[in-house]
Amino acid sequence: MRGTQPAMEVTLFAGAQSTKAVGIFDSGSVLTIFSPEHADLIGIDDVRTGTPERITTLGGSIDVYMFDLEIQLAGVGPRFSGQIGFFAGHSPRNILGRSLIFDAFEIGFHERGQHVNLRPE
Amino acid sequence: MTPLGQLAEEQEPQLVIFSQGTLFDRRPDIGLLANVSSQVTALSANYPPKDTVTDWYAALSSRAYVHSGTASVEMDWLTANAQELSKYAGEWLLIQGRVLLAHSNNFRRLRAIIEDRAIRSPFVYYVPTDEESNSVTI
Repeated sequence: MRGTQPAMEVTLFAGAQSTKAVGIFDSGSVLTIFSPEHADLIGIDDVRTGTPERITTLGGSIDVYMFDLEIQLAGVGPRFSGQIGFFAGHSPRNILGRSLIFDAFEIGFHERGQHVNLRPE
Repeated sequence: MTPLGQLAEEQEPQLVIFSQGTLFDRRPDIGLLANVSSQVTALSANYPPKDTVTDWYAALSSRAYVHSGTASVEMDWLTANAQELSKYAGEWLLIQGRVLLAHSNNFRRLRAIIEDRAIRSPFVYYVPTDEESNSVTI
């Protein structure tokens, strides 16, 4: 896809509910984390019911809350399950991190062409 | 030699899909990935065991080269209108098809519209403010 950041459309699934979101590939993040508004759209009313995981950012340490969910990258194979986190408060961006996305794909960034290449591992 | 091993002898990158050890499909033209993905999805519906689907997924040849060029029409809209998004900075967008259905800095307003219209799998996108765009969060 084109854009100024290495981003991709993904779909999050929780049972019969799903929502589409745009995530930023971030090799600096261990976890894959979304804004809590997306949790709301798949029926998670309170992200704090998830398993807390402490992460460290440049702004300090915060907790994110992990859930066993399914995710699908648009146009790249079937959906698969894994641990997906949510910020407790609003986040301006969703993070596609190493533990789920980078584990599943070999990822190449073509900055000049403004696209991302993915190859399932 | 396994089918995967045989393919490894070939020179051109291609997408290959296996079903229970049998070569299901092969596409030397990686531009056809969208069609192949659709077929995988269709097949996964016909073969419920998830580990079977995972087998196909894992069986993609190391020579396969997958391009992330397929996206929804909503993503197409977002990409096509990227230059115009700054006027929505700090707002949530609800996009359906090629239409910006609603935008608001109050997510609950969009949530209400999604419920009223019974939109399945809604596409929502938050447009970062300049300050948020320039910040490093993780």
